[in-house]
Amino acid sequence: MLIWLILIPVIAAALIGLLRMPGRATATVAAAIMLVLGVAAVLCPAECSACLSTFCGQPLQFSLVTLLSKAMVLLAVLVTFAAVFGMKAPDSNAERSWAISSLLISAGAIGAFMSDNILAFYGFHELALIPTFIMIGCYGRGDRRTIAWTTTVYLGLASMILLAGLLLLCAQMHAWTFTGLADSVLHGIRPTTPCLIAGLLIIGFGTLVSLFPFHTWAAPAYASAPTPIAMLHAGVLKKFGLYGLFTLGMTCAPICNELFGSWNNLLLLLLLGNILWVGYVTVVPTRLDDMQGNSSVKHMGYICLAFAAFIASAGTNELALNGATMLMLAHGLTIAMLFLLTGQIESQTRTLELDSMGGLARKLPTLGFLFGLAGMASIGLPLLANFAGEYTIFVSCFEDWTPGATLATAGCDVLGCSCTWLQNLPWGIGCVFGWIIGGFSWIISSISTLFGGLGAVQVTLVFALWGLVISAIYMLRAFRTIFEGEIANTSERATKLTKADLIAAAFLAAFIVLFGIAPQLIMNL
Amino acid sequence: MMQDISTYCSATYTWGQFTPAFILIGLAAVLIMADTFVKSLPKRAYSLAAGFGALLVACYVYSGEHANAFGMLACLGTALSIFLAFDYTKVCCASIAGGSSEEGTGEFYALPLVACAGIICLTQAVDLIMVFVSLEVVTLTSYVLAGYFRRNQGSVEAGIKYLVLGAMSTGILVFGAAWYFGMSGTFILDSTVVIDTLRGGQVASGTVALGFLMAVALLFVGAFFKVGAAPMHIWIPDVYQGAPTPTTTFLAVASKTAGFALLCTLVTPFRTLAVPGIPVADMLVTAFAIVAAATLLIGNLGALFQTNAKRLLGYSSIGQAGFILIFFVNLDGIFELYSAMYMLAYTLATAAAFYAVAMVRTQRGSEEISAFRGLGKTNPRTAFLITVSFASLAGVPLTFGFIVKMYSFIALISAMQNWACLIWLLPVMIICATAGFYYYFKVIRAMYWEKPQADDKPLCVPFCTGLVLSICTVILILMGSWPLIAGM
Repeated sequence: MLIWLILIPVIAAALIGLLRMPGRATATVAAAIMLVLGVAAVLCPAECSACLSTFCGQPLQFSLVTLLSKAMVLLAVLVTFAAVFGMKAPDSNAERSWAISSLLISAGAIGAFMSDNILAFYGFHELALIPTFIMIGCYGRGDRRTIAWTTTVYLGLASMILLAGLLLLCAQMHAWTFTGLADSVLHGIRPTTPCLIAGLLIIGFGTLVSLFPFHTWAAPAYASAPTPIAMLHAGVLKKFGLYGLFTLGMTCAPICNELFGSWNNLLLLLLLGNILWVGYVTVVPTRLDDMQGNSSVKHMGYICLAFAAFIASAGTNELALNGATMLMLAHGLTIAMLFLLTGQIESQTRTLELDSMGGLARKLPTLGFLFGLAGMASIGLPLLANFAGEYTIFVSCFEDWTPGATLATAGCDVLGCSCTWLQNLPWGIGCVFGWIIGGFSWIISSISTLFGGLGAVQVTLVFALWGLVISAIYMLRAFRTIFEGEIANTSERATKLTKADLIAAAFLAAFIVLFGIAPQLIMNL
Repeated sequence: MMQDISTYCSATYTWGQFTPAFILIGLAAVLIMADTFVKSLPKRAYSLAAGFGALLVACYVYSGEHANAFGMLACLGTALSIFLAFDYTKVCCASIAGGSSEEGTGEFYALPLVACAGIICLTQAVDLIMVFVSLEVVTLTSYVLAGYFRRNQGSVEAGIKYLVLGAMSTGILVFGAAWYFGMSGTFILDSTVVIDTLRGGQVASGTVALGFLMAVALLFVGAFFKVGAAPMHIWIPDVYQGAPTPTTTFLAVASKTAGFALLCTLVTPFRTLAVPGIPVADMLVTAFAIVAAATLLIGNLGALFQTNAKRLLGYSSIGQAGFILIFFVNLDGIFELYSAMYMLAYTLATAAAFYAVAMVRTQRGSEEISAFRGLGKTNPRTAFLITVSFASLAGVPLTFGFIVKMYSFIALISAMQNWACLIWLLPVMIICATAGFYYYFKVIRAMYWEKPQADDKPLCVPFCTGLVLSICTVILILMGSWPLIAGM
């Protein structure tokens, strides 16, 4: 059954492409079937996962066992439905292309989230990236070709670095599936170059989730992409990087500290870059789509924080994992909804310049309400899904911290990594790397001493919390500018939301509220 | 006193090994006879007979007693290049005889069979005489084929360039064979001879090994010329661009197969020596690593700035050869199998790409990448097929190209377990693979992002082109996706 979650969108895409069936209708039917199948598969008990993953009697390397993959598949089917149902293409050809691309992105993302085979996991993600490039290049806003081209090269390089990291890991652990990897770890097989592998993985996955400073591709790409593509990419596909880091972390839990530990302090600094630096960058833009793109980059920081906490606890911090799962799901729904509403605002007012908007809520109160709801969710207000995720992550940072004692691994070794391999690199490169990481570690450990025994993760959290204030600033300001005040000329153009617009947005809103009120629905999956 | 040369060669050859070669030569002879004596027969029949003949022989080689992946690949490549000519017999006539006369065009379809027979002999060779003779059969035929469109200046230029450079590389190969014979006292290529000679089994002096290494190096130069490895790659862009497209396809696909078959034959005797610390092994691995890196960089970075699709594919063939050479860096790996597999993926995708180029060239009058403009709008289905083949060349996952490129990475990683210093090749491969994304996607970009011009009609897809593109696409996707979801 699991394979049908991939085959249905691919078949539907083929029907639209080859038989010229209507784009939105076909895609919506496919997405509805996927929704039903996906929810059924997620609710199925874990022991049934193996029997679901056969095709013509042949066992396939798909599984839906971990909480993380279940939540991600759920996210994918929910966002896909909203994206194709709410799509508004300029003409029927564009509608077909959008529908095909949305379905392929969805198929690729779901394939990646279900694959047990590590290379299939990688491969499906790449498959999903290609339609994104093509769509930005064909139908994007602004300087679409340059943006699409930059994104292609940027993510292409990241993918290759990631592939090298994954292959090194697989070859050294003699395992090509996540299950096999876990077995190898249990049997005491250890990677010979853990530091190199983790470095490649963090750069590779990091670029894909737009970790600072590899984030510069993301905001322009999202701002430029057609609405359904932006929804699917920012909402679903971008979670691939974090999904990969967490899944590898979980699979190699006993050795994850050995693997990623030497990079953890650097990771903490980079994610602060996401939360604070990109946060401040988000306050500046004068276009709504730019703001949304940057805000999506910023929120990745919190999930990375959960990963750092998970690594610092040497893979025992369940709470960080649950928090990250919850936030990934919540953020996916929220950002998809925000991009959907951004698209609707644009089609109503024909502009996304914040300066030229105002008073839209008087013309379209429902749109105002939905945007407000999504904005509040994005800020992280209680009773909305993001709060559950962010709160759990914040708590998890203190999970096994006892007052007065630093965490075992946090901010300890001043000279950076215990990674002899790096330091042995020729031509002094190793030395430079060692000193960079060492320098960061030193800063962090001095700060933690200053804070009276807080560990690196906790210190980072203290800074990261300010990100919430920044979210509130830009989101509330955007809401005020667009929806309140005098009715601007652009808002005069606004007519009425169609039923499809409303249903697509309300569909996502309903789940944001549902998971906000009852996060245990996800956490206990 | 000079002995009979046969005493220095391998006596293990059997007639059965060469049956496919005889069939091909026979077929070629029949076709050339018919060309002379049965003038009324349309030339399309020749290409059909030759193409299907090569395909059948491919099946025979694959299933027969002396099954050989490279032989099969060579037949497949030959068949693909002949079928390409089938679609464009009119173009062939105009470029060969001028006008619509079919006079003297028959050999164009028969000669690839002869070359293919040469490749099959080469794959069976275990001594240098056989290597030289069969290699010359391939090369001499290719000279003729490259310059066959005598009314086309580019083709003539390509023929001459290929002849001059090819002759030089043959000279080097023969020189190497002579040194080999002088040092080891035999033409036979096997590990016993190699080990004995290296240990000074023949002449007890330290200079033997050095002279022997020089012999081996010269032989490798000959093989590197065929596969287009740096620095013996310089002929490729010009010859690929100038030669008739069916011939270019043959050179890119079948002739490169010959090169890798030869390389396998030459490297195999050294496999038992592939232990770190043995000087010969270290030298060979280092040499291959340097050649592979240079080939990768020249091919992939050179391709970045190309605007002519055929020339782009020329550089791409250099770049892809670099990825295949990585298999030989892992000296104790199963490089025959992996390089054959890579060649299969490369053959299917490259042949499909050349079919597309030929189609665009004849109907839009240009080989520039920009001539692919708007195909996504005018011919959406064909554009999809072309996209898959270029994506496979770029190594996009879920295509066959990804699987083989991944094996290339794995080969390097396995080699790193013995020779940890090879780590510097990893960034080179990463950069080159990324560069691949850039330049192969230029074609895809032209098809989807550029709007068709007002007078651009939808392309009319010739029969063989449509068929080959579809079949290649299906195989590329199946071979690329099934191993990933069902386990390798």
